[in-house]
Amino acid sequence: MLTRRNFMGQALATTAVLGGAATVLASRGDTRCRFLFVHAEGGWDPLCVFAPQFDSAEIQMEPDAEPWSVGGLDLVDHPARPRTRAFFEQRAGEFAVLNGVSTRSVNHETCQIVAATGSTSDERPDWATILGYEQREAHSLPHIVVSGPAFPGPHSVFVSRAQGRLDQVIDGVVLIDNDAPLRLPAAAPTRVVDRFLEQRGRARAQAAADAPRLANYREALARARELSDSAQQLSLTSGVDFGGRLQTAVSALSAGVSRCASVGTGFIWDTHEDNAEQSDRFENFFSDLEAGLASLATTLGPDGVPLSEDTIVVVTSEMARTPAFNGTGGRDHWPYTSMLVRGPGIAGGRTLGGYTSLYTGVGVDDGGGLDPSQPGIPAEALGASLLAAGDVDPAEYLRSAAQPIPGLLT
Amino acid sequence: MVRLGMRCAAMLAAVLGLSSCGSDDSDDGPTDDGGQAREALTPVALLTRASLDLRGVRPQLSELSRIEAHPEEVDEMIATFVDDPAFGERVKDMFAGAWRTRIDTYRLPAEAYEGENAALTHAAIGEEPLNLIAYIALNDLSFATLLESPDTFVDPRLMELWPLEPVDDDNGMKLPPGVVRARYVDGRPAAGVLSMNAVYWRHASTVENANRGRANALSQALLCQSYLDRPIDFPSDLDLTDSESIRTAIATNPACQGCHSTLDPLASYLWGFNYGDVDQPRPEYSAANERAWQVYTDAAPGFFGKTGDRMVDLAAHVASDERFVACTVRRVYEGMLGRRSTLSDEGALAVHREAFIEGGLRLKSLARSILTDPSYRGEAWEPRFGGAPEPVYDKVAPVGVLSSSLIDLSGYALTYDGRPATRLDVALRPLAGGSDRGDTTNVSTGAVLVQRRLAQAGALFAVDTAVAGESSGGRLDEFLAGADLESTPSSEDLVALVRLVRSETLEAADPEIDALLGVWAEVAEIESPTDAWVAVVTAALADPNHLLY
Repeated sequence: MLTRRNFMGQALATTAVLGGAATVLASRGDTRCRFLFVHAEGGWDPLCVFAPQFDSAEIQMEPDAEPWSVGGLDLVDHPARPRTRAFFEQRAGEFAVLNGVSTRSVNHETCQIVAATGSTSDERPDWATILGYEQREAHSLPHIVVSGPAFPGPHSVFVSRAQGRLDQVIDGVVLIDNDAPLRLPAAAPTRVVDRFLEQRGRARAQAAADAPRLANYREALARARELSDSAQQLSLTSGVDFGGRLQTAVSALSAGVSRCASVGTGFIWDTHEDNAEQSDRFENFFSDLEAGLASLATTLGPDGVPLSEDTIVVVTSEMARTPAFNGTGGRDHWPYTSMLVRGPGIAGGRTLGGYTSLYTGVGVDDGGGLDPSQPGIPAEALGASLLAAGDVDPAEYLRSAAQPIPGLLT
Repeated sequence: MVRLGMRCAAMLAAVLGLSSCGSDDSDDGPTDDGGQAREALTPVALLTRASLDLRGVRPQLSELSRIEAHPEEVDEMIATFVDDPAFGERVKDMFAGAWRTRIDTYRLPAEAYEGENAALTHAAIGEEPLNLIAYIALNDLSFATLLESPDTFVDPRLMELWPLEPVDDDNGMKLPPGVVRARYVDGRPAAGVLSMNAVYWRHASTVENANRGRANALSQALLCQSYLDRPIDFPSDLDLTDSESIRTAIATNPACQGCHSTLDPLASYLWGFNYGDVDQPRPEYSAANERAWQVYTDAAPGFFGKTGDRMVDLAAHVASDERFVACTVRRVYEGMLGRRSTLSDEGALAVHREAFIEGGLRLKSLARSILTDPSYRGEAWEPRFGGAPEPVYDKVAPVGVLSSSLIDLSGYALTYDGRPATRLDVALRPLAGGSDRGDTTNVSTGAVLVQRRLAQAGALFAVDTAVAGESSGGRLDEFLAGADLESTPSSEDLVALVRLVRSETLEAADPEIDALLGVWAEVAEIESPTDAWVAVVTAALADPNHLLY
C-alpha cells in the first residue's frame, strides 16, 4: 500500500522495541514524533484562562473570575466555564502553558504568520511544514492542513489541504458528487494512466537538467498515486466542526499519511463586540479538545503505539485581547498571547513566560524562570523547541539566535 | 510620471552596480552549478504559453500549423491574443489576488440575499472590482479608469439588491460576459473601484479600527505596499493598556507615526463605508458619515502628504502616483511569468513600466511588452536598467488556466451550485494551490490530484457524449466524432489527439504514441473499448504539459 509508510513503520517498530518508551526517545528529539497543530483563529483571550493577572490595576479581569491553581498551573477560573475547569482538572499535568508569547503585530494575518513561522514573511515555511518536510520519505502527505492557516513556503508539494474535497478527489467521488455527475471510472484504468503519467513525468524531467518544478511534479505525482492507491484506508473528509476536523487529523496521523496535521478551531475568537463570548469559545474548544486527546489515546499509530504517546499537540492563537474592555464590552487586538504544548518530551504542568502588570510579555531565563529583561517569548523560540523535539536542527531553518524555550523540553 | 519612472530605473541600475552595457557572460554555456543550460522556448511552446496566459486555452490547430510552418510569425500572432474576448477573464484572474474578493461567502445583510441562488449572489459580489478591470482590458482603456470610472459592472442579480441603476452601453463598448453596466445612485463619489461595495464588504472595519485595515488593503491592492510588511516594535514607554495613551502615541510617537502618519489619513477617506457592525454590511453609502474621522482619529483625509476631502481626491492622487503604475506592471508581470518578482527583476519591470506608460497605461500594451520579455521566453538577459531576471522554463498553471483549458477541450465544467469548483475553497481551489490571495507558483501534490480528476472528468464526459452521438461543446468533439470509439485507435488518431490536447506534433512512430497505444490496449483487456478510449484521453488531458507549460 504505502511503500514509504510500510518501510518506515517496520523500521520504527523495531526501533521502539530496542529503544524503549517513546517518551524517552522524544525527549532527545525524535524522528518518530508526530505533531498536531491547533489554531484558535481570531485571537483568544488569555485573561479568561491562562493569565491570572488579578494584581494589576491596569488589567481588567472578568467579573466573577478567580485565580485557580491546578496540576502545577496557575490559571483563571470562572463559573461560566465548567468544562474548561474540568479539562484542566484532568489534563493540567500534561500541558505546558506559554505566556507572553510575542506575535509582533495586531493584525490577524501577520500574527498568524509570525505564530506559525516566527517571521513576518509568508514565504518561510511554518513549523508543521518543516517537520513534515524533514520526514517526507515516510509520509505521502507530510503536512495535512485540515483547516486553518498554513504557510508552506517553498515546500507546497509536501503540504495538502483537506478543506473542501480532498478525500473525494483522492477516491474519485468528486466525479459523481457535483452539479453534473458523471460515472465513476474503474480503478484499474486509473492505475494504467498513472503509470503512463509517471513515464511522461520522468521523460520531461530527464529532458531538462536543473528543472526543480519538473522534479517536484514527479514527486507530487508519486505522492498522488500513493494516496489514490490507499484511498480505501483513508478517511480525510474534513469535519464540519472542530471536533470533526480533529478526528480527520487523528485519522491522517493514524494512517501514517502525515507527520503533521493542522486544524483550525473554526470558532470566531475575535470578540471586539462582547468579550463574554470568549466563554462559549473556550467551553466548546476544551470540550472538543478533550475528545480529540481521548481519541489520540485510543487510536494506534502506524507502528502500533497509541498516538498520544508520540504526538505533540500545539495549541496557538495568533494574538490576544486588550487588557481593558472597550466601549461595547469587547476587547481588541493585543500582541502578546498564550499557547499550549503537550506530548512526549514536553514538560507538562508548568507555565513558562508571563506578563507584566501592563500585560506585556516577560521572557524565560536559562533555568525556565521569568526573565523580565526579555519582552516576552519570541514565537521563533516555540518553533526552535518544536523542531528540536522533532529531531530537526533549528539552526537549519531559524536565525542562530533562536533557541528552544528553556524548560519546555524534558 | 514617465520621467520619474526612468529616473528610478536608472537609480536602480546604479544600486545594482550594473551598467547598460552589460557583460559578456550571457552565452548559452553551462550554468554556474555545472548543469546544462536549458534552452529557450520553441516558437510552438511560446505560442502555447501565450495562448494559455492571455486566453486561458491552448492554441487552435490552425494556429499551431501556421507557427510550425512559419515560426518567425509567432511574435505577430501572440501579440493579437490580447484582442481575444477571453483576455478580460485572464486579466481578472491576474488581479483577483490583489483585491481578494473571490471568497466563498460574504457576510450578507438581509434575507433578500438568501434563497435558491444565494451561492451565485456571493460569487457575483466578489466579481465586482474584477469586472471593471476586465472592462478596461477589453476596451483598451487607460488603467487609471480603475479609479475614475463613474460606473460599475455587475451581475444583473445585484441590480435589485444594491442602489444601482442601469447605464446604457455606449459606442459599442465591450462588456465582460454576464454583466451589466450600472451606476450607484446613493450619492457616493464616482471613484471607480474605490466606490464599490464589494471592496468594503470584503475588507470590513469596525469603528475602533477606523478603516485602517481597509486602507492597508487598498495600499496593497493599488500600490503593492503593505503596512503589515513592517514588523511592529511597540515603544517600550508606551502604556498599551490605556486607549488614550495609544491614541496619543499613534499621533505623536515616531515609531507609531512611521505607519500611522500615512495610514490614518488614507483610512479617513473611507468612513462613508463604515457600517458599524461588520456583520451587517449596508448596500448604501453614507455621505453623512464621511467626516466621522473627526470623531475617531482626528486625522484629516490625505494621501502621503497630499490633502483631500472626498474619495475622488483619493482616486486622483492614487492615479497620479508612480507606485500605482509600478504595482500594475508588477502584477501583470508576475501573473504572466508565474512567479514572484525579486530584486533581479527590477530592471525588467522598469522596461515594462516604460512600455506601459508610453502605451497610455493600457493593459494590452503592457501584456504585449511582457510577451517580448526574454525571461518569459525562457531566455537569460540583462535589461538595460540592470538586474538579471530568472528565465521561466516551466511555469505552473494557475488554477483558473488549468480549469479553463480543460473545459475548452472537453466541454465539461465541474461546478457546485453553479460555481466553478476550482474557484471555491469548499471544493477544489485550496487543494489545487489557489486561494483568494492568488495562485500558487509551486507544484503541489494537491494540484496533481486535482488535475488528474479534472482530466478524468473531461475525458469521461467527452467520450461518453461522443458515444451517445451528442456534442460536448469542447474541442475534442470533432476529433472523437471522427474516431471509432469501439475499436483500437490508430497511431494517426493518437498523433491527432496529442496535437489537439498537448499542442505537440509527434511522429506516428514516436515512442510516446506507442505508450498511449499501450494504455488503450491494457485497459481494453479489462474494460470496454470505450473505457480504453476514456483512459487514453485522460492520459492526454492529465499530461504534465497542462500543469507545467
